[in-house]
Amino acid sequence: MNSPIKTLIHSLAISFAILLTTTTNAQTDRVRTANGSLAGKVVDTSRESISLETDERVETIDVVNVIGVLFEGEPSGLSQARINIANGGYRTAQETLQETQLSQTTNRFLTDDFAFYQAECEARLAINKQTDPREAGRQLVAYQKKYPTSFHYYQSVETLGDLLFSMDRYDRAIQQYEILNKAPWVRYQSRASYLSGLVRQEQGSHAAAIALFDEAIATQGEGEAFETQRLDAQLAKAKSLAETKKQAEAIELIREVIKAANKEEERGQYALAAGYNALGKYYLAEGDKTNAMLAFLRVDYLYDQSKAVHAESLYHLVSLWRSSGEPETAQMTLSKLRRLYGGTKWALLANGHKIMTTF
Amino acid sequence: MTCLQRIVEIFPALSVIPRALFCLVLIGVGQTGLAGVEEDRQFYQMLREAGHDRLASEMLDRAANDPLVSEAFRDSAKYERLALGIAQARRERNSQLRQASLESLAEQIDELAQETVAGDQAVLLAQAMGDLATAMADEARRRAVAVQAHSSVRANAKGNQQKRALESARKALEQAEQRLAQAAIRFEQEHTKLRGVQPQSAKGKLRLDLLGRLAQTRLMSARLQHERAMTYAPKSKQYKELNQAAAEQLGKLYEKYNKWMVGLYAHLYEGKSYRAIGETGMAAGCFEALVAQPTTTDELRALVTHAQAELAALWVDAGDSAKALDGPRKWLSGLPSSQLDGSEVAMLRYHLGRAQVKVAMSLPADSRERRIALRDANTWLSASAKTPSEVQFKARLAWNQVGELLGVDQTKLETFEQAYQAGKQAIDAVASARATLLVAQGIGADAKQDLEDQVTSQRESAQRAFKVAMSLADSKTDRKQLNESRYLLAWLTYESGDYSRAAKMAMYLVNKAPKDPSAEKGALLGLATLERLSLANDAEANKQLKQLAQKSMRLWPRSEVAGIAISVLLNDALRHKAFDEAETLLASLDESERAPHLLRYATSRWEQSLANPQASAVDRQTAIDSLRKAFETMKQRGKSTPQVVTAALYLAKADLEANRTKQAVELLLDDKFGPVAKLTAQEPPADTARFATYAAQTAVLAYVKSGNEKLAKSMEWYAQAIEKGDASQANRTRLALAVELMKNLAASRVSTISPPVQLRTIESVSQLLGKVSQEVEPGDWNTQTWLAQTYLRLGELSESEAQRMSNLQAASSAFNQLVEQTRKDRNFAPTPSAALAVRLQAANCDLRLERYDEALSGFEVLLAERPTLLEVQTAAAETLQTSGEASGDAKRLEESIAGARPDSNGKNVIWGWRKIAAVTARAMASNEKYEELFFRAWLNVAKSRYLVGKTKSGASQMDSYRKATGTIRAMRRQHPSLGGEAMSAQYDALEQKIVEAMQ
Repeated sequence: MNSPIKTLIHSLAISFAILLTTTTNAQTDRVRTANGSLAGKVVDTSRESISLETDERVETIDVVNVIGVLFEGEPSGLSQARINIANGGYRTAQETLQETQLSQTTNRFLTDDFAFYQAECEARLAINKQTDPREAGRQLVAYQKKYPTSFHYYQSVETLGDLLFSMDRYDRAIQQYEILNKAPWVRYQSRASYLSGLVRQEQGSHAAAIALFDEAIATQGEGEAFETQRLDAQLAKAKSLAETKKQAEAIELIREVIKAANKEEERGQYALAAGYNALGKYYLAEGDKTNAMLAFLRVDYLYDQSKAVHAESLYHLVSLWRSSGEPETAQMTLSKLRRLYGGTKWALLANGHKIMTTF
Repeated sequence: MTCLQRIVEIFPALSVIPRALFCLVLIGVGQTGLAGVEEDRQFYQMLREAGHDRLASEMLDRAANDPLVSEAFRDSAKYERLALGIAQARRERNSQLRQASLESLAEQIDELAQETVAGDQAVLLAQAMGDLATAMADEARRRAVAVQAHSSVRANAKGNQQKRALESARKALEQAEQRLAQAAIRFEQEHTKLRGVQPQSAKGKLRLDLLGRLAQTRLMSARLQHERAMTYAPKSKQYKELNQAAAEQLGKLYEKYNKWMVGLYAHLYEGKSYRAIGETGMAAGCFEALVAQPTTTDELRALVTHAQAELAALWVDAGDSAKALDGPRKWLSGLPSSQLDGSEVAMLRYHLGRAQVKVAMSLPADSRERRIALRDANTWLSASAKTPSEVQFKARLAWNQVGELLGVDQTKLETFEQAYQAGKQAIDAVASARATLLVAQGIGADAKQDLEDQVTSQRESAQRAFKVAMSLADSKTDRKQLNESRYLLAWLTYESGDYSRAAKMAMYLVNKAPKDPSAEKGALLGLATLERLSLANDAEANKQLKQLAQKSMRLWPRSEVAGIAISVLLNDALRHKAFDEAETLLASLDESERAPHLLRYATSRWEQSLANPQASAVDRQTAIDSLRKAFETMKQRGKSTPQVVTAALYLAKADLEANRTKQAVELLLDDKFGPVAKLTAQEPPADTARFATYAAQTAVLAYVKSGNEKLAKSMEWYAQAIEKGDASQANRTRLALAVELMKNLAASRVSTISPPVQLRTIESVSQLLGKVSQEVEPGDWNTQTWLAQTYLRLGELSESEAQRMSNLQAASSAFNQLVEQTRKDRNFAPTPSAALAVRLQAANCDLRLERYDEALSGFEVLLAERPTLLEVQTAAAETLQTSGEASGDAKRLEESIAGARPDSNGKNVIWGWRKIAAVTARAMASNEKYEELFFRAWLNVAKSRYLVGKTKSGASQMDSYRKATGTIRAMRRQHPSLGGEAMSAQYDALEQKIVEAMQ
């Protein structure tokens, strides 16, 4: 190869490298959405959206579509904590965050994100009766005041509502869910109805609860999160129906959920797991331990992909095995629950903690 | 993994326990390969694999009504149930129950086999047939092996019992062979249907699975032929022919499957068949071909060990002990230690032991060489005797015989060590002879006596050896061995029946060497001995018992002996009703050890509350609450002990009495803790007649109340339990249950007892009464009248006509029997009124049975004696009226008004309604209670007149109707209220009827 050509190739390579470096520097934050992830730089946030600057333009991403944001240069502890939180491991997440330094970052969006997860952990632990709920509430409110335009705002509202609910402050919880209801997306509105329904259910106002669940069920929308929420509302409604002596309607509703599930799809698997869990709880309430056991075992054996639901089924199985005089099987199930979902409320409940089971 | 690979892997593992050879082969194969295993079946199989058979069974039960269950699973449920039933039957320990279950399953399979099925269902049916055939083959073989083993104890084949056992075993083997043949046909059919499918596809796997099953079935079938041959006398024609046929069949299978484990095993059994008929060369050929196989896997090593054992046996039988000992002994010494526990090794050791005994017996008596050879034989035989195998029984016998030959020679016991070892060996021999006795059912009395003599003689030898050991002990003697000798000597003393001495020896050990491991065992022995003495009212022993128990609790807390010590103290306190003492003891226990004792205590308190009629409702409730709490705690621990089952039974009974039927049924039917499971399996505590009776009685009550099908056989269980118990109490027990059941019916008058409950109660009581009446003593007035009265009550309540008639007839017969006895013996009835009451009831029965003439005769006899018995007069008038109406007999209807059956003075013994009315008219002036009868009598006068009219026509009919209305109007004029609203309404209704008839 002669030298001019060699030089040309070399200069082209350098240009390409520069181009590559420049591009990389410009797109360091990643916003994960249900449809994939977008790379760029988070330049602004509001309660409703994230502005992400890419090479070509500034993209506005609705919060409703955001699954999470990974910031450039964020400490690995924060990434790890997010994973723990997604798995219900709030204690581990909190410990990880406590050990993590943000080291003089000037990225306010990153500090917002970090602060949110700190407050979220504290609140979720408080809901599980592992920390002081009032302190957790103070932290959440302080977070909202400090970051009024955070994209985590509605999440923090929901958590605050859940926390108040766990403290039996039902009306205050409903007020928070009302805020959620004012978000500009039907999914949030539907979630607000569902959560308010849970509060009414807990209060024993089943007619009101059913009306709210019906609202959530009737809300039109697509996507996995939507489907999951609708399904949860259907199953919650079944519980209220059973509580109001409408056993036939309740069980029919649960069966509908199960029958409609497409087991080839992930959300179908969730529907089957949640449906059989609901069926198990229905039978438990009816005093039919055998049918309850068969329902929970189905979740354990066949539909264990959904962690929270699987953990709950294991929790119920522990006590069912115990009461059927099978302490060894109960112990094995408890070990499995601890091994797979040690940090979850179900494991805590199985260990004798008295916490709220609604969430 | 393919089916055949699985068979290669599984088959030899099964041969470790040849009895299980048939039974487990198919389990690994499972039901894989069924086209498209859907989720319900997958879930069901996962339940089975996890050992949750109860839940699997529930799933099948509920499938029919569960809309979430797929249709495919629902359709296959009946086949799955069969497979489950077969698996459960195999696990049944009681052989009679096991056989009964298999027979019942066979009937069901035969029925299903008549149906035309296809696809998955056809495969499932074939698999169920295979499973059943395998189970039956296993069962038959087990019986055949047992018969052969016992017949070798003593040549007793001429005994009737032995003959019957042999015939029964043969029949079972033949039936199993037929079943295997049927299964083979099915497997072949299903296999053929799948010809041409892709080997790796689901159907391809299924095809391979079926092929494996087919091969297995054929092997089993050929083996059974050999087993059947072995049930005949060795010189008989059948013995030879069947073995010859089996050998040929097995040879063909070897040719067909010689690359698979199944083929190698066919060759092994081919050799066994040849050995049986003395074809030594052929047999040796088979075994030697197998021992030459490469032994690269544990499975192949096990097969070769089996073949080596057969070779050794072959040479011993052929009289060449040296050859028997040569190769097989080398093979044994080369086996890895991990493979020394198997049944093949046990068989090899047994035949080596036999060979060595033969060698020993060929040596000069009392020679050192003979003794050494016998010791070697003893070593092999003792190891074989302790390992489960098909020769274990024979090994135990041979070991005992060698033990006797070796004996305990006291003159040779020169050191403590020698005496200690000799004693231990004798104790092992005692244990072995006992174990042999335990399994040797059906052996001749002489053989049994021989074994019992062996036990006694070996026990005495052991005692002598340990006494010598004690005398030889010095300061250098190993303390552990010395204390063990003390313990064993104490145990032997206990065994010989000298309890006081045994207790002293045991306590000496506990006091002198509490830290020695033997002391704990000594404490156990001491507690058992002292409790025995204490129960015989030995006050000193009782005192020592408490001291030893308390000391044991201190020395070995939370140990087995501590548990027994606590039980001993608790039992003692409960026996003496020292409840404070018992509660203090319980309070002193750790949480972990308290639960079983608390249950014992709660049970005892409940029993006392039951036995005390003065106990208040509050005390009873407290007692049952405590029992329930203690039971739940124990249940959560998961261990089913007789105590827990007893508590479950008491709780079920209490729940029944409190109308918590569902809870009672759940408790009774609980798989693990429920009394019914124990009752059907005849396991403790249901192996005692008392418990079994109480449990079955509770089951009957629960069945009657719930109608739960799982309790439908409760009356059979009850009959069986009664049979087991004290015959003199049987009738009393039956009566008690009948009385309890009748309480339901008594309640039915006022409460909401449902017709099905009533029906079941009537059926159950009828069955009981049938038995009671067969055995009731002739002079037992109370029982006989109760029986008759109860039959009458059942008749009154029966819904079905057949049941009503049957009970009324029984009642009539019982009352007439009483009347007859009263007539023969004037003192039979406790009072004259009682005798009259019986007559009245007899007539009452006749009336209900529409035997009017008999009823009237009965009334007449009564009224001739006591004419003023108004109730009887009323019944007689009603009988005349009813019978007249039924037959359209105007004369009889007139008699119902004017009376009938004149006596010698022409006076009617049966008054009729008019005289009843006249008598009551006088009586009601002074006593209001006659008012109702007065109005009723006139109403019936009118009614009879109306009925007379109905039998006539024209003017005479109208005349009768007018007389009837005239009576009514006259009554209304004289007594406007007509005795109240109800009676007045009856008058109105009758008048209305008559007026309508007149129009």
